[in-house]
Parts: sequence; C-alpha cells; structure tokens
Amino acid sequence: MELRYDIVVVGLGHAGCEAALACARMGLSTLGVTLKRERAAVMSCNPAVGGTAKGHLVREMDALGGQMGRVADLAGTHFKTLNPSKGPAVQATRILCDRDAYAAGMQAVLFSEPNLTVLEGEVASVVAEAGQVRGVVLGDGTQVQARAVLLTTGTFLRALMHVGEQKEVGGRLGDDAARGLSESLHALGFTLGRFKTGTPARLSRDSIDWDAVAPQPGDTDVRPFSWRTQVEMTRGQPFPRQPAVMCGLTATTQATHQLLRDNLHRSPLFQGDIVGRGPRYCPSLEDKVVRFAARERHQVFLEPEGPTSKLVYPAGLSTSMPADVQRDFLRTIPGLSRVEVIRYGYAVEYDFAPPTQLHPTLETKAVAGLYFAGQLNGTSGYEEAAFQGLWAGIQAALKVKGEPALILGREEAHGAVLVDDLVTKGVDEPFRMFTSRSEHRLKLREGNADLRLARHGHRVGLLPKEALERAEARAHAVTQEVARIKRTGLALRLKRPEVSYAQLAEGREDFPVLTPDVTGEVEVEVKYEGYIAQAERAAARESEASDRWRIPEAFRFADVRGLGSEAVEKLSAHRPGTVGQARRIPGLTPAAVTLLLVALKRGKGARGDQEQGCG
Amino acid sequence: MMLPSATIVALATAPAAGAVGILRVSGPAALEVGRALAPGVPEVPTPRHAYLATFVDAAGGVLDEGLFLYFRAPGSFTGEDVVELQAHGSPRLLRLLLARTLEDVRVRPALPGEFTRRAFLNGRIDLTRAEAVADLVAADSEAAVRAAAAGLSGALAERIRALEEPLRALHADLEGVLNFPDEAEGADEDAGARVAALRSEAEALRAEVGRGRLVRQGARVALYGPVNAGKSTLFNRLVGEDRALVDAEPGTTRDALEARVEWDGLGVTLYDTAGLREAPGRVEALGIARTRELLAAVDLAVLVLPPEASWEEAASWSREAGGTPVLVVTGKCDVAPASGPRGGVPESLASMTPGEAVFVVPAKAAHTVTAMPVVPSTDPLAAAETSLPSPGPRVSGLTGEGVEGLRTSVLARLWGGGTPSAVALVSERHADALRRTAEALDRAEEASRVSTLEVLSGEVGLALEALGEVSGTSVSEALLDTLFQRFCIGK
Repeated sequence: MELRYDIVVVGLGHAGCEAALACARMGLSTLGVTLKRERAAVMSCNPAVGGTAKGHLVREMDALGGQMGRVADLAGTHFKTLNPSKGPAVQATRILCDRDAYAAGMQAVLFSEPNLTVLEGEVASVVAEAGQVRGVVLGDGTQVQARAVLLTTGTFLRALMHVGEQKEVGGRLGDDAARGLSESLHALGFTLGRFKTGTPARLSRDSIDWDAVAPQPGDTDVRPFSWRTQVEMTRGQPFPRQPAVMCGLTATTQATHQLLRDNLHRSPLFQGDIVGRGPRYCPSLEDKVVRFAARERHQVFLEPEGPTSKLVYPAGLSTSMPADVQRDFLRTIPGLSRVEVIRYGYAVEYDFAPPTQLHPTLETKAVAGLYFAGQLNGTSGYEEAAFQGLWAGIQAALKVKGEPALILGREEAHGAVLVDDLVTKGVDEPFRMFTSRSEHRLKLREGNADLRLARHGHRVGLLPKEALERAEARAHAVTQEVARIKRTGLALRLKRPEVSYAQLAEGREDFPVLTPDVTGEVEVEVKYEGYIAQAERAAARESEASDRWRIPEAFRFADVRGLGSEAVEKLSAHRPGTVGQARRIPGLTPAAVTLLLVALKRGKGARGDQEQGCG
Repeated sequence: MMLPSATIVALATAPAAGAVGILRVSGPAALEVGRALAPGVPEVPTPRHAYLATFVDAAGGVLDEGLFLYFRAPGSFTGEDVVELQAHGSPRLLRLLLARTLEDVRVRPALPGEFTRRAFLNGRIDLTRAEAVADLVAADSEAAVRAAAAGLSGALAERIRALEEPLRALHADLEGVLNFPDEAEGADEDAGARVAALRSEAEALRAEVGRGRLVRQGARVALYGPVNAGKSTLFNRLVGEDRALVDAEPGTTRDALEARVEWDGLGVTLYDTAGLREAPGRVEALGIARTRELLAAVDLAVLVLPPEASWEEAASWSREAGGTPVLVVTGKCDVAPASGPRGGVPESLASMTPGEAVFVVPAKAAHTVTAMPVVPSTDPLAAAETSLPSPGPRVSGLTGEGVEGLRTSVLARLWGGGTPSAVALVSERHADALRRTAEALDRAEEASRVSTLEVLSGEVGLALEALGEVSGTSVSEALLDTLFQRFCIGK
C-alpha cells in the first residue's frame, strides 16, 4: 500500500498534537501516526499544565495559534496563579486538569480537523534520498510519501521501564516502545543518547485520610490560558467547565527516609541498572533522600486526577523502587497510612537525539525536510514538548509552502529561548524551561504573550483575525495610556513602589475607562521601564550584532586563523548557524568568536547577504 | 533575530588636561546621541562639517562650547555613523560628557580595540591591519581566559571569590524562590540584608580599582601656591632630576606647566600652576577658576608656601584645592630662616571632610617636609599636637635638599602609604566590569526596598554577569548547578 501526504507527524503526544494541528490548519494534508489512537494526548505524568516558565510557554503557544491552553482551560479543575507577589514576569498560571477530559478534549480536536488523518500504527523507518526526506515506512510495510516528516516520539524510542528489579519494554505503562526507528535514525547518521525520567505511584483516592492532610484549594480568581476562553468569559459564559477539586499537602517523615535508605540496594538507580541521565529538577524520592540527607521532610502534594477520578497523583514521590518498597514507604506518610496503590511508580529510559543536530527551525541538519520535536530532543515537560511541536509544525508547513521560516528572537519569547538553547547549547540532562534561562525575562511575561506574538501567529495562518485584533486593540490602549500619563507627568508618581494605577486613577474624571488587562500592562511598563532598559543593555552587550552573521554550512572552522583546536572542535561539533549562536556555545571564548567573525568577513568581502536574520 | 549594533562611545584623547578633548560616538544612534548633547546642531547636519556647538547637560544647562562633527555611514573610520564632539580638554568636563552619552540605553563604553574592530568588519581597513587587531584581541582575551582558568592570581582572585560565592548563592536562592515556589519557599527571607552586605563589598572593590587608574593612566599632581615660594624651582628640580622624563613643554592649558615623569614605576604628570601669582582673592577671576578646575581634577595638590607664611594663609590656600587632598610644603629652605608657618593649626582644617587625609607641615622644625595626616577629628589641634613629626628632609628646589623626601611623601600619599595592591592592577576592561557589578548591586539594593523579587534577582544576576567577565564564570551555566545543589526540587 502506498499513501501520499504533504506532512507526516510520527507520535501524537503533546508535541505531535500541536505539530499535526499546525500543519493541517496551515492548509497541508497531514497524517498523524500513533501507536494507539485512544492514547493520543495522554498526560503520562502529572495531570497539570503550566507552572513557572511553563505557563509562559502555554500562553505563547496560544498567541501563536496553538491548542494546549484551550484544552487545558476546558479540562481545568484547580486553578492557581504562582508567584502572585514576586513580580509580573515570574507570575505563572498552573491548571490542574481532569486527566481524561484533557486527552478527550484534545482528541476531539484532532479527529475533527479537516486536513488531518489519524492513523494507528508504528513507523518503522524514515526514508531519505540524497539528504532529503521522502517519507516513512510503517510496521506493516505501508509506504507513506511526504514532503516533510516530523518525529515527535517522546520517550518511546527503545523505551525501557524499571520498577525495582523488574524491567519491561515500553514508553509508558500499558504502552509499547518504538523499536525500529532508532536504527533507522542511526542509519541516517544521527547520534542518539540515553535519558531517564520517572513518575510516582498513583494512589487510590478513597484510601487517603484526607482529614490528615492540609487542604489546598485552587484560586477563586480563575485565570484561563486561552484568548478563546477569555472572550467567552467576557461574554458571560460559565467558567470553569469542570467541578473544582481539592488538593492536599503532606510530607515524608524520617521513617520514610530510613525505609528508602535500607532498600537502596534494590533501587535500579543506585544499582547502576539505569544508565540514562535523569533530570536534577525532577529527582526520584530515593535520590532526594540520598542527596539531601539532612532534610527532615520533603513536601508531597496530593492531586486528584479529576473530579470523579479514583486516582491521585502524589507530586514529589517519583520513584523506581520495587512495588513492596513503594507501598511500605508510602504508608509512612501522614494521611497515607492505609493507602492503596493502583499503579506503581516507575522510571523509563529512552533514546533522545541531541538537539545540536538541528537547525533553529528544528529541521535536522543531516536530512532536509525531517524535523524533531519534543522529548525526543532531550526535553522534559508537556509544555516544552508542545511548544517544540508547534514550532516544528509551523516551520515545516512554511517550508513545504515555500515561505520563509518564522524567526523569533530570544527577546520575543521564552519559546524562542527554549529552541535556541536546545540547538545551540545542547542538553546534558532532560531540559526543562526556567524563566531564568531568559536574559529578557522582565519583557517576557504571561500577561503580554499576545502583545508579543499574535502578529506572528496570524501571519503564519494559525491565529484567527479576531484574536489578532483583540491583541492589537489592547496593545494600542496600553501604548496610548502609557504615553498619556508620561505626558502629564503622572508616570513619575506611578513609578513609586507604593502607587498603583488604580490609586492614580482614583477620583480622576480625566482618566479613560480601561479594563484591568490594559491598566495592568500600563503599570508594569511604567514601573519596569528602567529595569528593563538595564537588562536590555546587558543583553545587547552579550549578543550584539552577532546574530546577523550567518555561518555557511560548508564553512571550515579549522581554517580560521589563530583558532585553537579546542574551539575548532566545539564549533565543528555544534555547527552554529550564526555567530550569535557560536557565542552562546558553552565554553567558547570571546576571542574565538572574534576570530570567527574576522574569518567570515574575510571570506565574504562585502556586507551583502549578511544583513538577513538568522534562520 | 536582528539586534542592531550597540552604539559605542569613548574618549579619543587621553583623559588628562589638554587643550582639546575628543569624544567619539559610533553606531546607529550616534547622531541622536550627539544631538542630545548639542541640541543646536541641525537635525540633518552636513557630514564632515564642523559645527560650533553648545554642549548641554540633561537639564539644558551649558557645559561647554566646542565643535560637533558628523560622519555619515559608511564614510567614517568605523563605517558607521560617527559623531565627534571636540570640547575643552578638562577631564571633568569630558567625564561629564561621556556620562551624558551613556544615559542613552543604546550606548555603552567601547571595548578596547572596538573602533578598529568595527572599522574592519565594515571593510574600512584592510586585512593586514585587521589581523593584527584580531591577534591583539585574541591575545588579550586568551590571557584573560587563562587567568580565569588558572584562578586569577593573588589578592584579586581572593577578593573576587569572596564576592562571587555569596553572590551566586544569593542568586540561586532568589531564582529558586522564583522558579520553584514550593520547594524553595523562604530562601529569600534575608535577601535585603544580604544584598546590602554584598553591595558594600563591591563598593570597596570598586574604590580600590579606582585607585588602579593611577597605575594604568598615571597620577596627576599639581604644585601651587604663591609665586615666591620657590615652587617653580622645585618643579624644575622634580622634573629635571628625573632621568625618565617623558616630556616637558609649556602647559597646554596656558596656565600651567606640565611634565610627565616616572617615579618608582608610577607615571606622574606634574603641573606647575604658574598662573597663580598672587594670593587668592586678588588675582583675576578667570585665572582662579582655571586653576581651581585643575586642582579639583588632580589626584594630589602640593601647596608650596614660603617659609614666612602663616597658618591662616596655609589654611586659606588649602581651601583652594576643593576636594583634592593637599600636601603642604615649605619651600626655599636654603634661604629661609628656621621658622615655619606662624600661628596655630588653622581652624579651617576642622571643617575638612572627614576621611580626607590632609598633609600639613607643622612649624616646629623649619624647612622640613613632613607627611602628617591630620586625622579627621573633632579636635584637629589635639591631633596635630600629639603627632608632631620629627624633622624630615629639607626641601629646596635650588639645592635639591629634601626633594627625595617630597617624592616619597607624594608616592606614599597617592598609594595610601603602601604599594599598589593587586586589586588595583586590573585592566580597564576589568575595572569597567567591576564598576558594573557595583552599579547593579546598587540597583539591587534599591530594588530590595522598592521593587519586586524578580527585579531584585535580575539585578543580582546582572551583577554576577559583570563579575563573571573578571572571573570567567558564566552565570547561566553556574546558576542551575548552584540551584540544584541548594534546593531539593522535584515532583
């Protein structure tokens, strides 16, 4: 059998869903291949979307025309604004979802998208000729021709699960692994690495003594991710859609820690069975107990997986200990003394493709038309994966349509920082987004994601006109008001820490009537002006001008006069596309960058095409 | 992504007193920045045309008059828009003008060799020259990288580490709280106090580095006083005796003779303010103003008094130096009777700013030069009396008597009695980085009182980044390591 599509997306996790939807919505015939249709968009680990830096990514996706924020809004059961008083740029939305409602919501969108076909199956290999992708071959021998192929295979490549001494092949409990694809990628010349991640046990809700844990209600002031939901709210439609759930807070005890220490010899992590490197920010409990031996307790958040779900996700208890150890240590925790485990926690090892093999569009350097996105690139987290999926989807669609790539600077989006860090610096542990990765953090707020990105989303054809106009109207109102209060000198008063915009406007009839999403931005812009200028200055010092300088693909770093062998090695390994990227390679000296610039200039002669942006 | 080039600025002439001082601005914002200083210049000035311009401060007050020259890209040295402001060569005025240009966020100080580098990148100079520059830049940075890798030697490395480690811990704590609100809760509790302490430390470092300028650029010492004190003879003796004399020529400020000498490896520019021929108050206002400006700009003023001068006169002359420390000597010891300034310790010395060591020559032993700091005290009389010095070397420009002692005293005063510390011996680039560290901590301290945690942490990050230019550590790489060491984070 032979099929023909514009684009094939392999894997329909969080990256794959965004990628497939973007390509289809940009008018291309798209095939989404997944091992199991009903497992598309499943939340494999915790049932929440958002959080610090991650909420920013969701908002940015929403402004570019992504789907995740809207689905999370509709599945949301517990809404929280994190860091409410630490500053507008680190303030972040986190929505706990009904796990089943999330997957069902996303699937409904996927299955009803006109240009998108969802096919159940396994992709056995990627077909390429002369450095150009031609399509894929499925496990049953079906050949699919495509102009672009997007791999969003998550943790499924040669996936191996560990529960104590037991090992099982599979990328997620109850699901199989993808076996042939790793070999196919090897054959195409890609390097693969090995990472591990883990997830805690799922607890029976009824077996928890909820009176013994501290209740953790959601916020009453509910803030959704998506512009669509915001529009609905202003029109008076009810929100949230799901009944609220109550979470609980408890903590491990000395008895928990002792039990884990006594059983370290049964841990695959400590016995060296797991070779893949895990994320430091998401360690297993046994890891925490060893590394932070002095700590008396570790917090545990008990998060029901839905209003009626029987399952509770215990955040903070990721583990790959044997089942009996898991049950025993869980029962040393207040509130869990009679807890029943429905599914035990496990660690999963999987292949990832070091992302320095990618262009900033997430297209592979080795095979044109082949894109990698999501956990395959060594990242961690639904939001990080989804953003890459959306990004790769947009870029692949633009390329197939013969349009120029979408270029976003690090000062425009956390998502751009994510992508740039990945392809420039590579990863040595599963990569999670932090707001501190951005040198422009003060500018990249959840609250202004639409102001920053809506025009891009609309230009590529994903964001409807209505949303663009909404963002533009708000941007206009903010600019006008900032200009007005500067003109009248009131901005100086607003700069004072104790003065809010509301206080400024109080009793003043000459003030325009503005919505809180406008006055909030006005306040931030005025109060932060000076600090943002300082940050800009420092950032400009770093990356000044160098992003303009493209490095030709055939460029020989060894020929650069005066460049040390270590620098040549680093540059040859990373193959940066611009001098700016070279500058951000860890350990490359400013001197090496200068020499590179001089060599490039010498090779080029005139300025000419150097004025174009980087890819 | 296309970030426009920053606009860079630097003094194109030596930052010393001279007839003309040139400030050069290069980059896309050059014209705008230049016109902000010289608003009288037309919006679209004729390139390569010298405009007579009035330079103003931010409030529109007149700073100076000078020439404004505009070179339109690519017809300039760097190939970018370039503006040159030619002002009078007062170091203070030039610093003011420089500071004014830096108020614009698009402007930053040029790195060493940066004008040349831009000239090359824009094809304004040829390959041979450019490679020489590239090699220079490479040599410079590689030395810096080596130094960073090996751990900067000695006292500086120690001091940098002493600042950097707690700063990094603080940054990790703040970022921990911002990025992991649950796990790192409370780690920012004493942030204000920690920032304040680090800020003082950075300020101290900056002050020491400020003294390093004396090594890098040389110190400036002016002789002044009434004309009949033997000052000019002393000047000639100080200059003439020195075999390492660089040049001595009639003063370009019209009012002072200037000579550069090298003492114990330290470059010193000596000025003889020949213009002050009368006691203050009786000379023409212009002469006084010029001399005052010079005296305020030098690092040390040596007041040469005739043997018969009174304490009151000494005090009155001392005030002429403004905030500059004064060393008082009695000249003409070869001809004068054995008596020093008459009268008691001048009352005016009591009004000196605390912390400013002032050297006076007490009357006891005639013709002696002594370097006795008047400790800022509520009772200067007591201070002077309790520390009356023993007779020192005698000073005579004619015979050379006491000149060696004077030279020792001057050097001792410039170096606070010691030798230049390793901290002081940093490069301009490092000095600039330390300055930015201190400034960022200033803002961080302010933010800890009036702004949000994210701003505070951001400024601490900027401080670390600037410090990292000296220590060779990358903030972003080190941050996560520190963060994960300090907090137990995870699902």
